[in-house]
This record gives sequence, structure tokens and C-alpha cells, in this order.
Amino acid sequence: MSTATATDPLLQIRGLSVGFPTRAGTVMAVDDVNLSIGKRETFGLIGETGSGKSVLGMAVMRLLPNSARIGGAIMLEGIDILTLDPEATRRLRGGSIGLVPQNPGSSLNPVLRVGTQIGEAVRLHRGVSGREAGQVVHDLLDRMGLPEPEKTARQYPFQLSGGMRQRVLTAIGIAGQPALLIADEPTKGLDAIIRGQVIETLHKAARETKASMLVITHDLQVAEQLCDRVGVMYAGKILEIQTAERLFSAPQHPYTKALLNATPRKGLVPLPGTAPGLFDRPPGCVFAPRCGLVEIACGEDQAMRGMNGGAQVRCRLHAG
Amino acid sequence: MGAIAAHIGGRLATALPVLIGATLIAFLLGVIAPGDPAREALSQGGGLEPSIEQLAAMREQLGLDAPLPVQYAAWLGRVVQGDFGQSYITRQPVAEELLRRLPVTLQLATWAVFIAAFFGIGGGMVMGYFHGGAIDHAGRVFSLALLSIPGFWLAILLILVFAEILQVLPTSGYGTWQQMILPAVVLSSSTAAMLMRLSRAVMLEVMSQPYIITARAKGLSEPVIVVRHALRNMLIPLVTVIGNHAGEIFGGAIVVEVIFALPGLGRLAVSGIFQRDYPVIQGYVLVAAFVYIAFNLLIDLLYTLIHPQIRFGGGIK
Repeated sequence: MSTATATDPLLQIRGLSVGFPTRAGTVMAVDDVNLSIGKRETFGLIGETGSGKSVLGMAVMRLLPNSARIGGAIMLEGIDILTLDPEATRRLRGGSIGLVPQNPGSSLNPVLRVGTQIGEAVRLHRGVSGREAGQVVHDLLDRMGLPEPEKTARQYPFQLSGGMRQRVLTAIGIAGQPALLIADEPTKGLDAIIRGQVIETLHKAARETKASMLVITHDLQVAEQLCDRVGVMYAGKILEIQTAERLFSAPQHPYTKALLNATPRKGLVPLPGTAPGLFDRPPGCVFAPRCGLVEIACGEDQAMRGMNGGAQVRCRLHAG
Repeated sequence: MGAIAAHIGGRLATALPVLIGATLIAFLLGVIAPGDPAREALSQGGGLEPSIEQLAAMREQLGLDAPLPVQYAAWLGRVVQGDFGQSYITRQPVAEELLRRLPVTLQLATWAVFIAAFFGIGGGMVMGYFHGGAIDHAGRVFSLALLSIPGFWLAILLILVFAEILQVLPTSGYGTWQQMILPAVVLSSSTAAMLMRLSRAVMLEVMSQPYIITARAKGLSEPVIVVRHALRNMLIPLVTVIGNHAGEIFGGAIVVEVIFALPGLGRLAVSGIFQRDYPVIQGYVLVAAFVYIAFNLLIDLLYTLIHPQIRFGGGIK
């Protein structure tokens, strides 16, 4: 059913690993990640805090600190963005890939007007200036559902509510008409009503700009409502990729099952143990120490395997 | 715009008690000063020792027999009208002398503030941006050295290098802009060094804010990010600190004016102190307090321009 997206992906991440050297050794934040996002597809990346999902998003934006050790390839429309020079990287940011950052409270510059902050991206990536750029800014604010775009453009972030700031950030993300929009924890710290609005806004943004979207979230509900396909990340590795519908109805990996069982809907069954620390990742399957189905073979690292129905799972149980 | 007026109005209201306090201190300085003004007035022409009757008459004439609060009110009334009394030494009105010298000190202090702000903030930003690198380490050593070196020693060193060896700048005097450079640099040195260290820390803090990630994600170039997004946020704490250092610069001007033979207020104050010329010291205290308050009001005005939250009456978080 998703054959078109599989053969013609916009973004293809191959064997991506991100390590941070520390005194105690290199911490692998992202380890051997493979995934592809089709044109106009919304891909969700779910996982606990520290699972490496935000680092993966920042790697795609090329916004990791210089100390990061990056391996593998990130192909966007056939070009490996990890090989781009600084100048091309800046055109990529905001132009080909837009970011909706986390923390709407602190992700807008407090001393610059909203219109200025959106206008920067418009002027940089759309080749317009002056009044025309102002018009584009008003149009963007209008499309993101802000009732008085002219007034909002003249305001400062502190004059806006949390929900409005999130919309302004979304407007900045799509200002350069990117092919890929990355939303990093878009609902973190927001209440239920605003969360619903954010999901709606992001959905609208992707639909109107015809952009693909990578949604990084620990909010399972966001992933279910917003995404076409979802990848489950744990301790730097992707353990399962499925369509959102099937992931939530028929999870395959023991970790995904345990994660869903821990939601209120499934009766809040706690997952025993804690996620492995940065320095004591177990050899073989990273979930093995907490998994109820451990066998000797779990001591060996498993590859991602495709299953009938399009799911990909990294588990011995699905070895064939 | 009404919010700015309200903000400045509030600051003016708090400045008033400070100003009144300063006048009180200046007045008491005159009271506790040794010597009897009535005797001073009577022996003006030299010669005869005044009689007790003469002294009593003169005291009454000068209002010195009245209670202190009454004397203070009368003195304050004269001060408000620009009458700061007469110098014991020159017999000239103190106000005229102060007014003649004020521009020199203001010019020196203004230069010093600009030099300190430009090199302190600029240097600190470069250090913060390249933190951990060679420039950063060199800058930290340099700023620490600058903080530790006393102004008078730095003055001698600079005179030696620029006036004696290189012969590009005059050693002292007043009148040309070249003569202002060395005094202003010396006067700015400790403030510049402090600003360098503070700006470095503030730069690090600001550059780690989430809105800088947003700016980078837009594809903006680093100079635009640093100047448009970082600098304006940095100025909010830095401007406050510059305001707090106004007193230090004004006080430091005393030493610098003496070393470089600048005819400013500081030198007048020094000679006033050595000659026990209390009206002059009194006048200096008043003018210094007034300048300090005026400068901080200016800083407040600048603050409202940088900080939109004050401009719109939102208060400061």
C-alpha cells in the first residue's frame, strides 16, 4: 500500500550513527539508523527521553555541535547532505528542510518582532523583499490560523500565548517552502487543548506546502493522529517501523508492545526496569535486559527485517 | 509610548530621594568642615582679628545662628538657583568654576564609556563565540591583566609607549581629540576589562538559547545570528552594568585628570580637598551626584529602547 513512497523517497537515512566523545568514552546517541520518508509522507519518531530521536532530527538539520561524530548517509532528493559545504548547508536549512523547534516559550527571540523573525526566512529563501516579503509573512500567519496577521506581525513573542507562539514557529518552519518539515517535540509541555491545535496546525502546514514531515515526539497520541508511518526508537536504535494504524493496533516488537501497554488506554502496565544508560548499552539487542522473551540469541545484534504488511522489526522473534 | 513615559516617570520619582540625600550630605560636609564661615567672611580683607560682637552680627547676617534644618532649606534654595557659594581660596563663585570644568570631564567620561563598551562588548563576544580557543584564552589573560593593573601605572606605561617612544600622541593637556585618547583609554580600562569578561559569559549564555537554534535552522549566516539575534539580547544585562559603572568612571576621572593635566572637575575636586576649600568640595559632590543620576536615567531610556517588554508596559520577568 505504501509502495510509491518506498520506491521514491524524499529522505533516506542509511546506517546513521551519531556519537559524542566524552572522557568516559564515546556515547552513541544514534546507532545504525535506517529509515526513509516518502514525498508528502508524515513520519513519526517516537521514543523515551534520551532515546536519540531529537539528536537524529538535529543531524538531519545539520545542527549538531562540531564535537559530534557522524557516520552513515542522509540522502535528501539523492544528495548526501552530510557532505555539503557550510554555504550549501545554510541554503538547506530553512530552504529544503524547515524546523519547528521544541519549547515555543524560548524558541522565539524575545527582542525581535514576530514579523521580523518570519520575514528573515522569507527573504532568505523566497527571493522577495520589502513589502512583498511583508505580504508573505501576513499570508503565512493567516494560514497558520492567527486571527489578526498584521497585528501579530508587529507584536513581540511575550505578547502572544503559548499556542500562538507555536503557530508562529510553524510559520517560520514553512516560510522557505521546504520539502521536509521537522517538528521536534511539538507538543511538549502544552495542555490538551493547545496540543489538539498544534496537531491541526502541523497537519495543515504539511498539507498546504505539500511537504513531507518528520515528527519527533514522545507523545503517542500525536504520532497516532498525525503520522502515516511511525518508527520506534530505543537506546539509539530503531526497533520497529510500521504504518501508524498498524503500529498502534498490531505492534510487533516486544518494546513497542510494552510501551503501548503502559498507556492509560491499555491499563498503565508499567515496563519493568529502566532504559540503559549512555555508557552501559547492552551488547546485542538493546531491549533484551527488560524484555520478557529473552533467549540466548538476543545477545547478538539483530538486523531490521521486513515483514509481510510492510512492517520492519529489529527482533529475533521475527527472524523468519 | 505611554508605557515609556510611565517607566521614566517612575525612575525620576526614585531618583529624587537620591538627589535630596546627596544635597543633605553636601550640606553636612559644609557644617562639619573646620573653620568658621563668619570669621572667614570678616577676615576676607586680611588684617584685624574680628571682635566677638562683630562675629555675632555676621553669624546672624549669614543665618548661621538658625537651626540646621532652616540653614539647610536656605542653602538648598540658593543651590537650586545656581548659587553654590564662593571658593575660600579664589573668592570666585563655585558654580561658574564647576560649569567651566564640567564639559571636560563629561567629554572624558563619554569617550571612556564608548571605548569600554566597544572593546569590552566586542572583545567579549569574540571570546564567547570562539570559547575554548586561542583567542579566548588570550582575551581572558589580557582582561585579567587589565583588571589588575592600576590606572595610574597604565597611564605611565601608555605615555611611555605612545608619547615617548612612538611619539604619536601628546603626553597631556586639553584641546585636541588626540589629547583625549590616552586619558580616555586609561579611564576605560577597568570597565572595559570587566565588560569583556561579562560579555563573554553573557555571549555563551545567549548563544545556547533555543532561539539561536531557531535562527540557525532558518539558514541565517553566523554574522546575522550574532549581531541581530545575540547582541540585542546581550545588551539588556550589559547596559545595566555599564550604568552601574558610571560612578567608577566619574571617580576614576579624578586620577586621570591629574595625571594628564586635564582641566576637569576631578582636578578641581583634588585641589579643593588639598586646600580645604569646602564650598568647592560641596559643589563637586552635588554635580557628581547629579551627573550619576542623569547618566542612569539615560541608561534607563536606552533600556526601554532595547527591551520591548518595558516599552509595552509588561514589566521585566
